[in-house]
Amino acid sequence: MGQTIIVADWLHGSEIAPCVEGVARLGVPETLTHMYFQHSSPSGAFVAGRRLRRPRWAVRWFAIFGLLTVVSGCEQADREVTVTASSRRDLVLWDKAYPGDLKDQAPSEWRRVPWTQMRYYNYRFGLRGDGEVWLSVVPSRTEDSVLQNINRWYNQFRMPEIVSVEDLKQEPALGTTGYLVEAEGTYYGGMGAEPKEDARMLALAVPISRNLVTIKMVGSPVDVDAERQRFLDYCKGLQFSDVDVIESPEVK
Amino acid sequence: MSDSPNESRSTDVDEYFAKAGERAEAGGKGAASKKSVFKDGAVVSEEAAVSEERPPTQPAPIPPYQATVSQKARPRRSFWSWAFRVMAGFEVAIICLLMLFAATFFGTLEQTQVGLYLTLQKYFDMEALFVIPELNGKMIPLPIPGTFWVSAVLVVNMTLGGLIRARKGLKTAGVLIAHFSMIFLLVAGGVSQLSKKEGVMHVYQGDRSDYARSYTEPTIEIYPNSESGQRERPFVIDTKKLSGLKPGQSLTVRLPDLPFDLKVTGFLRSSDLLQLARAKEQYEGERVVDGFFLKEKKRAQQEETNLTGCYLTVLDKDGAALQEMLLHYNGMLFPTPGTAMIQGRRYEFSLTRWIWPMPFEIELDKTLGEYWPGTRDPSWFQSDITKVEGELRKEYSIVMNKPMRHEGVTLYQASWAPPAPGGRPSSGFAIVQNPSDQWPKWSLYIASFGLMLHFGMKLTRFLGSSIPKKKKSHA
Amino acid sequence: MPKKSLNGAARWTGFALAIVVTVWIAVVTNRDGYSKKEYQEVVGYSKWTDDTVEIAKGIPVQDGGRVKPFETRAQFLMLKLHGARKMKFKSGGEQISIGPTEWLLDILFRPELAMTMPTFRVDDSDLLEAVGMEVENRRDRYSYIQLEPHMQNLGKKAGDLQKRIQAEMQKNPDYKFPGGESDPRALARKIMEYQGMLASNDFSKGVTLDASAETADGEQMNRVSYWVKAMPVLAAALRQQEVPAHVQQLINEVSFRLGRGEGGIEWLPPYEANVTLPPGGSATIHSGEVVKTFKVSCEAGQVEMFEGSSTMGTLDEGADKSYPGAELVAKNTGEGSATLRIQGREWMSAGNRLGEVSRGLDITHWEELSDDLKTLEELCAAAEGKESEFAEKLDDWREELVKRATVLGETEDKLKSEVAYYGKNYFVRGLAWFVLAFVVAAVSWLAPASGWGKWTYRLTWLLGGLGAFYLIWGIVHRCILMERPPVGNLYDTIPFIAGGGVLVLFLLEAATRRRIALGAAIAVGLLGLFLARAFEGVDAQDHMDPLRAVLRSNFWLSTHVIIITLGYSGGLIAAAMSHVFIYAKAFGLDRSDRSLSRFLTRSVYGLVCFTLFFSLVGTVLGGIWANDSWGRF
Repeated sequence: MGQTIIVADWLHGSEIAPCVEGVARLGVPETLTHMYFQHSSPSGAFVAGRRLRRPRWAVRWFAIFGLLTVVSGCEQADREVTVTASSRRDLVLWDKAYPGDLKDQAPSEWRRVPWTQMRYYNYRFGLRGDGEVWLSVVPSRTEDSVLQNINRWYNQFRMPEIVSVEDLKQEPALGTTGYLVEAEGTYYGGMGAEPKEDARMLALAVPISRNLVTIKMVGSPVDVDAERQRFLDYCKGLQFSDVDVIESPEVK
Repeated sequence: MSDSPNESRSTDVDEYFAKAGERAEAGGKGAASKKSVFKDGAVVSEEAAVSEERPPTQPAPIPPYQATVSQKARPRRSFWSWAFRVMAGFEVAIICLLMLFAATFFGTLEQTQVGLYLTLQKYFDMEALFVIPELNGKMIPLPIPGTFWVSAVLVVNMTLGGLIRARKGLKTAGVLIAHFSMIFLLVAGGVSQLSKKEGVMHVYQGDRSDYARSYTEPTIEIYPNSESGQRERPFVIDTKKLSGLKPGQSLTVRLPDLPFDLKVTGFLRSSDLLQLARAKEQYEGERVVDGFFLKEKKRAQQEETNLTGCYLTVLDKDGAALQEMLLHYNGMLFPTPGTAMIQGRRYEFSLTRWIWPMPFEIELDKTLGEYWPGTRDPSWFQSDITKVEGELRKEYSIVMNKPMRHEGVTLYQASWAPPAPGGRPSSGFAIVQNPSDQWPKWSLYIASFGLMLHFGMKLTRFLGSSIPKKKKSHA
Repeated sequence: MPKKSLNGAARWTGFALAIVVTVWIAVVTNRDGYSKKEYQEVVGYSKWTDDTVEIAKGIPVQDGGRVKPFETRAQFLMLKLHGARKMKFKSGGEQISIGPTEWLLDILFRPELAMTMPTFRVDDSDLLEAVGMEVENRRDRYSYIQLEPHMQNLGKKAGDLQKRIQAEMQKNPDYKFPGGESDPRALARKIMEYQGMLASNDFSKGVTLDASAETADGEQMNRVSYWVKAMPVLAAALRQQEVPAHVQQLINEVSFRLGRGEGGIEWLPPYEANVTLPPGGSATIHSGEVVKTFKVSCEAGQVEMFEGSSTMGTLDEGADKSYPGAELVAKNTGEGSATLRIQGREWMSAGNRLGEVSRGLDITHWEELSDDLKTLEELCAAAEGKESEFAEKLDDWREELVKRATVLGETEDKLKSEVAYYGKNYFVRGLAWFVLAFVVAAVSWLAPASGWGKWTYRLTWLLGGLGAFYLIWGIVHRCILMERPPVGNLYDTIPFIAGGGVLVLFLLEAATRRRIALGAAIAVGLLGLFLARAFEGVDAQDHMDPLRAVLRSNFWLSTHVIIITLGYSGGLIAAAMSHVFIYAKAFGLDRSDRSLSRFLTRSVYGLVCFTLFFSLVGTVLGGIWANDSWGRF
């Protein structure tokens, strides 16, 4: 019977199982693995001098690797996915969160467009879709900041400023009332925007606590007139909604 | 002070030397003194020693009784046998380890240039079959298989070779245990890759939250609105469909349960949303929708800071475009959707990070952060929370290095922000659901035990061989 | 060539190389890296007496989040600006060498002299040439006076560069400043820090009195402390616009003088505020830009604490609690008045303390600040007179600060212990013993089997043991001072790795007695301590400062960090023994000693096993720690 060689495995330091045949041979490995389970040289010289008996397998493997590399690197085509009702998730507080904790109810005729830092709500309306409605919240640092803002709006239409807000009509919004401002003419929006000729503005300035909430509508006179009532209803429908407040922290 | 070559040795290396020498002498040809045992032509079997005068490259002739035995013991090897031998072999292990080394090496270098998120995705994701490293914008022509698959092969190899095929005995017990622990660790990594979910829950003091958001994975959600304008349960587009989408590619979303389909184009992982009227100097012909356009930005290494954007077209079922809109993720804590009216019903479309509903609600009762005096270095973060699950309320205190673990979900104190003037402090909780969360710890305990057992035995033998030698030399 | 002579030649070569390496390390460690033909001249310098220096060393100051001795503050500031722990210059034909404490004393109490000392190390002469300065060497040291004419230009260049970098980062958040370009910002920051220190006691120069103003006591009224004491009365008058113009000017001058020292040494402890709130009344505790922690004790009544709009709970009579916050508000919710004691934790410079007191709650703080300023004014005046008087006043100041520090929870023993730690200079002494041990070991290699070979072997053990003793004692002392496990930052790892390696190799030598492990142990100890010292000089940071929140876990610092550092030790010493193997093979030293290769192979194998165990366990523990901290590996 072939002698089982107890050799020192330089990595494991243990006895290595004899090869499948039960014969300890060296020098004629049929596979590299075969060699490991017969003899392992501590100095690692096993690698030196071994000839590959089947170079074709190496060629095959390299070809497969190369193909996989090419394939995995290829640009994928356009994608398609099907999304069914099973993908729907439950509603969470995220879905009930609103910019500035202000919830609105916009009419279906208005189309919401991207939010910006100055426009919490931003809508387009009108026949050509170029009418704009937006809601902003600015800090109210001084006592006359409402008047200052309103006069800024008048300046945008190159209209004379007012000295008091008391003469302005008031409309309900957010549980209080705001000052309604109307203007017409060429609208100089500022900040690089091109002037808009023959424009009309309808705006509401609502002082709330230390902030000023403004809702502004700018468009062609026809469009603005058509949306006037919806604008007022929109302002009236605004409400604070802070759903994620802990309800009764004092109890704890 | 030198060792005598005739002294008995107890270490494996020495045993090898001794036995090799003995066999060479037993061969009777004195070949051992001339030939190094490391040479290719050296033989260590009796048969090989007997036939020593043959050229080293020629195999020793098999004695008749051996030949009979080997003929009987050597049936034609089946494919499975061959596959087993290959997969259980040292070569596969070495190749896998070298590949893992190469991937770790290049991945470590590459992540300093492109960031951790992209590197992890490129090298470690399941979808990564092959990777070509890239440094300083130049590709390194060294395709490396994806680490996930290399690890999978290594698991198979270690199981077959390191456990099944390896010799069993007291001397190998420590090694087997260590092998098992490594397999366990790799499997833990695989399970984590396949099923780990993570997100962040940001809460202000005095507020509550019942969801987490992914740090990095974008998603598009479609909210049908009720007649009263309330949002209904959204349809969610899988993040995987979006995450690798390139700007020149499109993603068509078929919605059989809704009266429209969608097409996503111009998807940018890092972008700014600009108004044409106000950013004319930055406009370079990008598509403009509603007066806005997306400007591609260089992707920051910290993926969390990249703001995604895309163009969305609502299509009817025949593929005709009904409406186009621009969606941009802005990092806010509320949805900022675009809307469309389709068949008299309003729908909202929101591009955000994947939302993960939690099975409980967290109330942040108190959160505090302390800094070392006179510095801006944080010394302590703590959040006192109440976990609400139906009627059950339980209080926890989460601090750095002491997360809250509950039913497979773990909450960590990941960040803290001081209050703005007149405002409130807030906490960011990292939330992780990972079935194999604790497996690496158990794997480590097992590995430590196994290695201590094995190395302990070796050390005992080593010391045993050294001390008698020392006593003799002092005698 | 006969084997014996080859062996001998190899041994002599090894010996020579060992001596050369050792001498090189000894030289590099002790020189400051700058070849100077002449030292700079500082006119009229007189050294502080040893007594003064010893007193000054123990003065408590706050920096980097903890209270530390004056000496520690001085030495790391000196390392940062000067690049060395000693400053050498000439004065009156005499060569003078001063340490960090003396240097900082000069800055605080003899600023005009300090400005002429060669404080600033500049490694890049291009930077100075770019601002119009003429330079001789690429690397050199300059005084504040030499740099002063070019500071404005330097500041402008630094500012312009900062703006450029910010603009680049707007476009590319990952933008990194190219390494090859000159960066004036670091030097500008160092100069600003130095200016802050120089102006620490600027207020001691006093204010300019208008000749027409009535003075009750002319000498006293020109002091800043006098006006600070009068500030509450003046503030009330200011509100009613009753203050004459020249008084208004004086007030401005007081603010200016103190304000200049805002960046100065932070050695004024926080004052305790006593506040009485009427029913419904509230008090705001300002923090400034950074969140600060205050301990609030309710002596009488009941208050509710708020931060911003959030409640932080109620504080009842007799209770106390620490509250961190950016803007804490205490509101009296009881029916009677409430009395609170509020104690902060921030020590400040005189300039910053003025700002804090002006926003503070307790009007008596003005008097406390005035007393502190008066002490410092007298100290500055004494610095110009007899040094014995100055030393006495300095000691009084030190005692006062120690007393107040003790009330705040600091102990004098700890301060003394830290002074002793730096005084003992463990790592430098350990390095010296290792150098000596290495030389003796090299001698013993020449003829190991001979009689004197055996004696040098024993001597090597003794010297190496002494080196190891200092190394380990230094690590232990640091642990005690930091109140945490020995390794918490990059600097800490270096002596710990060296220590771990030395001990393991000592054990190996004890088991095998081949002299090789002993030599390797000494080499590892020597190189490790050398590297530690070099790193400390380059990094110039106080590595005993407290750790950030995420690292504050004694459990993980004791497990993961220690284990993985031991793993690094193992790798290092396996490498050291492998180098011996390579050297032995290259010079054929194993030809007459066949067992040498076997021994080295066995030893390296064993050390690699050691490394494997500790590195594997340490690395995975690190991943587990990261997972426990933030859920990601």
